[in-house]
Amino acid sequence: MVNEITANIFDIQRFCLFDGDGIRTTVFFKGCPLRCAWCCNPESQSFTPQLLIKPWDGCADCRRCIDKCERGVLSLKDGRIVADEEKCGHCAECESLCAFDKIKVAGKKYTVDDVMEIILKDKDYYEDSNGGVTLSGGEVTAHADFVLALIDRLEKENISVMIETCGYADKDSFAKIAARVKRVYFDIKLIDSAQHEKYTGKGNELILENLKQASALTETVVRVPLIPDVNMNAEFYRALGELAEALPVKGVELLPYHRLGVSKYAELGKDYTLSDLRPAPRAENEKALAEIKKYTSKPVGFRQ
Amino acid sequence: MITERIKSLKDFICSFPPEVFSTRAEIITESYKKTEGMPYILRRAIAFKDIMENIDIHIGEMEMIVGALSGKARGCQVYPEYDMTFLINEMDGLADRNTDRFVISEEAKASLRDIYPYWQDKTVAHYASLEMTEEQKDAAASLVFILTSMRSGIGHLVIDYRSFLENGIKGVMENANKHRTEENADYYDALDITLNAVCTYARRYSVLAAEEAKTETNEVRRAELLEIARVLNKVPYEPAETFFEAVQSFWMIHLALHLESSGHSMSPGRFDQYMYSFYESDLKKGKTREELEETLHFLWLKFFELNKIRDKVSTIAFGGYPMFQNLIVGGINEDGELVVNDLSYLCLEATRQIALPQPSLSIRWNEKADKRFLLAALDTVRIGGGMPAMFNDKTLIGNMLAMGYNEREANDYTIVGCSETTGNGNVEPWLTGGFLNVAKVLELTMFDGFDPVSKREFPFKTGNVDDMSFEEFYAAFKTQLAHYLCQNVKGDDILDALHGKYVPTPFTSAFIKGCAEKGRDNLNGGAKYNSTTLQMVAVPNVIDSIIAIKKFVYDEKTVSFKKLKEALLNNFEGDEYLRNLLQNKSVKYGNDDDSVDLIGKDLVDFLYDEVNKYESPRGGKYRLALYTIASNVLFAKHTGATPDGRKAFDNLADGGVSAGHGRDKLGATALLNSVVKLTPSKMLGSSLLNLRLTPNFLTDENKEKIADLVRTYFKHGGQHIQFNVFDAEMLRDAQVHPEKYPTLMVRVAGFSVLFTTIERALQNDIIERTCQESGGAKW
Repeated sequence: MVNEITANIFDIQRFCLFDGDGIRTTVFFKGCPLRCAWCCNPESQSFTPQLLIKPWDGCADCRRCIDKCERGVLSLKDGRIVADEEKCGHCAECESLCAFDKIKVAGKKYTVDDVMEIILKDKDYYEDSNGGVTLSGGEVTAHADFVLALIDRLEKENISVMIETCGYADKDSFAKIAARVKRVYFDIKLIDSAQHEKYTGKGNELILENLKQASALTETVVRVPLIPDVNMNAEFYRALGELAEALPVKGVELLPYHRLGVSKYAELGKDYTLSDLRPAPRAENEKALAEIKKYTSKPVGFRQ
Repeated sequence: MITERIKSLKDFICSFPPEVFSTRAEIITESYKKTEGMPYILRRAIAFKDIMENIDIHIGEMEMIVGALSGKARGCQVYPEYDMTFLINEMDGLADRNTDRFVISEEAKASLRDIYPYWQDKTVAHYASLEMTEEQKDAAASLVFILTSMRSGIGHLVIDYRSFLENGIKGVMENANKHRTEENADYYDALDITLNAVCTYARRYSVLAAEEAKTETNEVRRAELLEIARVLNKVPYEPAETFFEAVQSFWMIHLALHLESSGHSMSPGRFDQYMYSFYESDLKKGKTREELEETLHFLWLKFFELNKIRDKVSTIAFGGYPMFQNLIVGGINEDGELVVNDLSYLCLEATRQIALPQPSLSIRWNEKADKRFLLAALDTVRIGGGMPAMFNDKTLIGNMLAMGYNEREANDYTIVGCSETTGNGNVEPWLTGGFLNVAKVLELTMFDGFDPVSKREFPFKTGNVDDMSFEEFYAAFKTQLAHYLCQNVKGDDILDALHGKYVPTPFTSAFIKGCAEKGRDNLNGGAKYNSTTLQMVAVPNVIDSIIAIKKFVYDEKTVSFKKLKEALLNNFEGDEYLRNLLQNKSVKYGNDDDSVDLIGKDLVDFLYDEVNKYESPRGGKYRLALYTIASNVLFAKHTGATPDGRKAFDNLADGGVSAGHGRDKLGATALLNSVVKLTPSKMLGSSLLNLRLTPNFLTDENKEKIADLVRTYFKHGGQHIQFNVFDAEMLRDAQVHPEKYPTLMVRVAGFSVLFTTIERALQNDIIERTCQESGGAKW
C-alpha cells in the first residue's frame, strides 16, 4: 500500500435522518480551523486523535489502563484518570482494556476503502429513500484530498453526497468539493467579522466568499446555530435574512443552542467557556425565526 | 371518524374489571355426564350444542353488533376439559393478582368447586401428566421449554370466513353432507349437530332482541333492536347480503369458536378481502362510508371484549388479556393481483381511532402497493400502540411455497396470533408447539447437564467444557440443543395426540378446508395442511454469548472456561470487570458485524435442519420460528447469568430476532442488516422484530424515511417488523401512577396490551428495549 490517503475520522453514523434527504450515513472528519465557543463536538476540533475520559468513581480501584500503558500517558489525579496527551501514541490499548467504556480515542485513521466499506452496507437504503452520504466534521473541506478521492468512489457507486461545512477553507479546494456535491449545508454564525473572530477564532471574510461560491455551484442551505448573547439579536437577524435573500441559497435552517456536548469538554480535559449560558426559551427561538423571515422570501425553519 | 356513541361504548367497556363466569363449565359438566361412553367427537358436538342452547346471552344497551361469551361485556368462561386445577387454586386471588385481574362471584366459585371433582381425572392436563416422561416434566419445570397446550385449547388458526359469509351455514352443511361416508358417520353427525347449534344460538339473540324491542320506549333503539332481530334470524344460516349482516354473521361464528375451545389466536385473517364485496355493494346501494365505518367500529369493540382467563404463570408470558386476533389487510389475492382497497384503509383508521389492543392489526406489504398504504399504516403506528405489524409478501409467499402450499394458496397467506405465517382456512398450523429457552440450553451445556437455577441435575450430558476446544464446546452445545428440541417435540406430540383424542373441535373444523373431505376434524389431521411450530427464545443472547466465549476464553485467553463458569455461578459477584468486559468489549448481534451475525446464521441453519426432522401425529412437519411473545420475560426469571454479560434473571432478548436490550448501537439499518443475515426464509413458522422509536422521531418527514426503511428491509428478505413508539419517561410515570394511564397501549411481541395491565417485569422489558435514534446510540 503506497501513499494511500488517510484521514482522521471520529465517527461514522448510520441511519442519519437529519443531515439531508432520505436515510444517510454521516462521516465526521476530525479537525477544524474554527474554535466556536459553543461547539457541541469539541473532539472534532483538533486534527490529531485525542483521549476522551469519562470521570468515574471506579477508576481508582481498577487502574488497568494506567498499568498497561507503555508510554505512561495515564495517571490518577483526584480519583480520576488524566492523560498526558503529548506522550500518547493513540494505540487505543486503554480503550479496549476499559471494560466500563470510560475511555475512548476520538479519531482513528481511515483509508477511503475503510470508509466505503461502512458506507456500502446501507447502499440499498440510500437508493430506496433518496438518501446518501453526508460528509461533516470537524471541517470536511480541510481534508480535501481524501474527500475528493472519497467522492470519486461515491460517484462510481451512484451514491449522492452532501456536505456540512463551516466554510472556512481554501477557496480552490472548497470549490472543487462544492461543485461535486448535491447540497451544501453551510454554517453562518455571525455576519460581523470582528464578532466572528471573537467567538470562533477567525474572521468571516473567507467564509462569506465561499458561501457565494457554494450557492453558485450547487444547492446551498444556510445553517445557523442560534446562540443566546452571541447572535440572537435584531441586527444579526436582519443581516442574515438579507444575506439569504441576496444569494441563490435554498433556505435557512436554524439550530437552537443546546448543551448536550458540554460533558465532552471535561472528558477532553478542556474548559467550556460558555458554562453559564442557558438555552433560549422556545419563544425566543420562534421569535428569531419570525424576525429572519421578515428579510427574506426564502424558506426559514428549524432543523428537524 | 369516531362517533360519540362508539366513544361512550368504549368508555363503558373499559370501565369495569372483567368477570369469570361458570355457566359454560356447568353446562359442559352436565352434558359430559349424560354422554359418557359415547365417541368423543359426538360428546364434544353435543356439549357444544348444549352450550349454544343454554349459555347466558345479553345485548348491551348501546351496541349494534351483538354476541358475547357471557352475560356481561368482557366476561370470560371456564373450560374445565383442558384444566381446572389452576383456577380452583388461584380463584380466590384473581382480583388481586399483579396482572390480568378478574372478578369472580362467590356463587361461581362455589359452582366451580362443585364440579371440580368430576373433572379431576378427565382433563388434558391430567392425561398429559400420565404420559409425559420425568425428563420432560423436569425440563418444563426448569423452564427449558414451555409446552403451551397443557391447559388450554389450541386455537391459532384462520378459518375459511369467506365461504360461510357467502353461502351461509346452510352452504357449509350442504358441502359437508356431500362428503358424508358411513365410515365417518360420527364426524358428519357432529358437524350437523354443531352447525345447527350455532344457528340456534344466533336465533336466541334474535328472539332476545325482539323481546327487548317490545319494552323499549326509545323509538330509535326499538328500530335498531328489530333490525338486530331480523338479521340474526337470517344469518349465519343464510348468506349475508349487506355489510352489516356480514359483520354480524362473522361475529356469531367467530364468537362460537371461542365457546367450543379455549384456544386463543383465533384470527380473522384477511378481513378486508372477504368483507369487501359486501362493503362495496352497500356503498353502491347508497350507504355512506361513515355508516359502514361505525359498523366496523362496533366490531372492533367486540374484538376487544373477547377474553380468557389464564393461570398466574401464563400471565407473565401472556399478560394483558391478549386474545391475539390477528386481522390483516392489504397484499395480493390468489391470482397475484394487488388488493389493497378502501376497507383496508378503513381498518387502519379504525385501530387509530379506537386505540384498543384488539384486533391485532397487521398489514401485508407488497412491492406492487402504493407507498401511501405504508404511510397510512405508519399513521396508525404513530399513536403508539404498536399496530399494525408489517409483513413482507416477498419473503412470506416464498416461505409458504417452501412449506408445500401451491402458488394460489401461497399468495393468499395470512397471519395468525402474533406473527405466524399460515394458509388461509386450509390448515391446522398448531402454532403452539412450544417455546424453547435456548439460553437455558447453553447453561445446561456449560454446566454439563446441571441447572444452576433449579439445582436439577439433568440426565443428558455432553461433558465438562473446561478442557474442550471452541469447536468441541460449540458442538456440545448443538448436541444439547438437538436433545432438548427433541424433548420439546416429543412432549408436544403427546399433547397433540391427547387433544385429538379427548377434545376434538368439530365445529371449528367445519370451516377448515379438507376436514369435510377427509371426514376428520382439524385436531385429528382433517385439515388440508398440517404443521407444528416450535419457537426459539433468546437466540440473540446465545449468539452474543458464544462470540464472547470465543473471544475471551479461546482467542484472547483473557479468562478460562472454569473461571468464567465460576463467575456465572456467582452472578459476577466481585467480578464486575469481567461482566463489563463480556458485555461491552465483545461484538454483539444487531450491529451488522459478520463475525457475530454469521454465528447466528449458523445456529438458525442448525435449528432449521433439526426442526425439519420431525413430524406431528397429525402428519404435518414441524416448523422453525423465532418469536417470543413474552416468554423471554418468564424464561429470564429462571435463567442464570450468561456469558454475554447478562446478570442472572435480567431480561432476555425480546421479539425473537430483536437484538438484546441496548445492544444494537449502530442504528436501525445495521440492526435490520443483522436480522436479514439470520435467514428469515428459514423461519417458516414466524420471526418477529421489535423496533422502538421515540414519538418525536416519527414526524411527517421521518415517516417517509421509516416507510423507505421498511421497504428496503423487506427487499432484503425481512419477514416482519413492528414499531413501539413511546417515551420511556411516560411509561415510567405510568408505573408509578397507573390511574393516569388507563388506556395507554404498548406493543409486547406480536400483540399489544394496555400497559398498566401487565406484569412489572414485562413493563420493564418494554421500557429497556433499545430506542433507535438518528445516527444510532451515542457513546
